[in-house]
Amino acid sequence: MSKPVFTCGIAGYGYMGEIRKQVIEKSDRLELIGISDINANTRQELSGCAVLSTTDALLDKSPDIMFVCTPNALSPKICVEAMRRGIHVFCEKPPGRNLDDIQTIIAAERHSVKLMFGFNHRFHPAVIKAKAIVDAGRMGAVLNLRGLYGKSGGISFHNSWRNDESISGGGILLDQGIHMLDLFCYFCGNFEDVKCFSSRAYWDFNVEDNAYVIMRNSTGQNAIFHSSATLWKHTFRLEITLEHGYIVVEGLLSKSGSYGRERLVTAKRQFEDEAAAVGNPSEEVTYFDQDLSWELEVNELIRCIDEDTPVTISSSHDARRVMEIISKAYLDASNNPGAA
Amino acid sequence: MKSVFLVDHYNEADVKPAEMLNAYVQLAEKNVNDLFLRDTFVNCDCPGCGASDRAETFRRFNLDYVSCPRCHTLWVSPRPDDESIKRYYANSDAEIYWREKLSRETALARVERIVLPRVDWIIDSTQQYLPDADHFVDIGTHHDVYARCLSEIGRFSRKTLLNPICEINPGALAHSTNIVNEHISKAMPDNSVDAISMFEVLDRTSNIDGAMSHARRMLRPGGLIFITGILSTGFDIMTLWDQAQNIFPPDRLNVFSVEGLTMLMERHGFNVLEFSTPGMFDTEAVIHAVETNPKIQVPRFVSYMLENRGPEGRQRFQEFLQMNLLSSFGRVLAQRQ
Repeated sequence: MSKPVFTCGIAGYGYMGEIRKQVIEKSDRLELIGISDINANTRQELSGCAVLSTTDALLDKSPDIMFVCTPNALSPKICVEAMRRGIHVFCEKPPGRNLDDIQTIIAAERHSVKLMFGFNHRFHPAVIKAKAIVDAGRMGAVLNLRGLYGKSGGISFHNSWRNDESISGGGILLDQGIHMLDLFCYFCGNFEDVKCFSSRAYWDFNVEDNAYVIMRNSTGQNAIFHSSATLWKHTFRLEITLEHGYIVVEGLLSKSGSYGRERLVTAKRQFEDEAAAVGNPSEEVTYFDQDLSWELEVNELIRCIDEDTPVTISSSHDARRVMEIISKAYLDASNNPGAA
Repeated sequence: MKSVFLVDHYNEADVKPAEMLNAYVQLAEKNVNDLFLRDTFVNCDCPGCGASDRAETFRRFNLDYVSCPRCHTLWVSPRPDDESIKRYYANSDAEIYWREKLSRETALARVERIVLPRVDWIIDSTQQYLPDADHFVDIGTHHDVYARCLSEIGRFSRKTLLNPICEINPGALAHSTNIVNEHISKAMPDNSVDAISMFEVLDRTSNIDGAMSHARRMLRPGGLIFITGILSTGFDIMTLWDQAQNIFPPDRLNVFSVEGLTMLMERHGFNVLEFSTPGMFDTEAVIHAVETNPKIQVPRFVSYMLENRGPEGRQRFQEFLQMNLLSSFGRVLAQRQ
């Protein structure tokens, strides 16, 4: 028996809306029935499905799944209304501007609908393999994490809504750094203690362009993260130190390719005796050539709908947890003299 | 798809000391001439892509290697059948020498450099692609060091070593490991296995399509197969060709190309998840061959590079070969469709 096809709507046709459209159109389980966007020029470029000026008009078409790709300030209201109507929701990250926004969304969550967030990096091939290695247990427990994720901005960066606090709720840490913080939680569970410095080092925004976050959890694992909008060379690097070795995820397969070829480095600690350690162990490097992350995360949502099982990957629990960390980071940064 | 390369530093001599390797090759040459009955030899098409076209290449131990103009696989044809090969590995002086001397005297290095990385590969990949995997079968291992390490993989609750000539003491193996002394065609019910390893097994298998069909048959849909072998498209093989010291029957009855091995997997209903050439010894093999036999002519560029770029330059060149699927040691992970 063939599986049902789910009708889909996309709210917001920016960078992410375009990606979601491609994923939906490639899937034999999804059918795009409408896109809404506030921008008339954007709407003029679209065809092949209903093109609408308001999200309410799109919701009135009663899609099975709503892809929420709007700016952060708008996402909560759309998620809430979609779920109220019994529509499954896939919401891009960040899940709103702040902790209140995600809590509003969670309050509207119902058993009959699935709610998933776009923590897409979990589905990148190097991260999937890193997670498999950690879960396999041969390298022992995770001791600590270190992350660097940043970009250089660009011509339109200065005018982007992402850097307008009233719309976005925060700067680079919330917009891009949230992926790394989510991965930290993916590998270590939660981090209760959060310290942060932030700065407006270069860009003239009312949000941070750099954040330096230090975290610790109740099991004693520590993590350090630098999130930056002044990395003139686009960089993604996640280092996982384990009892018996280390894992490094570096580069990201992306639309632009600007983060470099995605690769995973693994190595085993070579000597029991620290005095004899040469500090340069044999490494295995895996290169990945295909990014299926967009398809995989949507397939996971489809699986949850098919089997009527709770969303456990990129769930509302994951969203709240990472927003709690960001909230603590912003609070700590604001309490630091000289902070942004 | 993904590919892997290794940043490591060790020599072929660590796992195959030259003196012992030479003794082994000499025994193998004698045994091949003595033990194989040529009137039972069978012709075969390209074991990689299946094409019937072939080009004559060179003779080794009085057997003819031919190459495929389509996929560049190298293979022996006509060739002994699998029953003859089984007898060879059970009784030949060469195999006894390998098993009882070479393998044992290099055991520590082989475990550290070869066996444990393969065990890690199996553990990590199974966790990634088939986390509920329970039954693991190794096909073809008949060396006790290897068998013991495979039997100790805690990842699987059931492990089977499948080899018709296996003489390993079961007491040396971890609990829950079975030894099955049967041919692949007769062992294991259909769809009963989660993961299979065949390390350098396809290299010495006469009926390749038969072996792959049975491996597929015993794997459940979605099951994994881990394969290693020597590749004809590696730098040392391509450079040395008829002078390559590691190409001889029956150990290397088939020397697949990257493309040929990929086609073999695909025409037997497998999706290739990983194809890597993490070989360490290509440049070293060329240097050793030229030093041993100065009459060997290698391309001017290769000769210059090997003479003038020192160990670090050669190491970087080896890494380049790995990164570009140009080393002669290959490993493949594939999934049954």
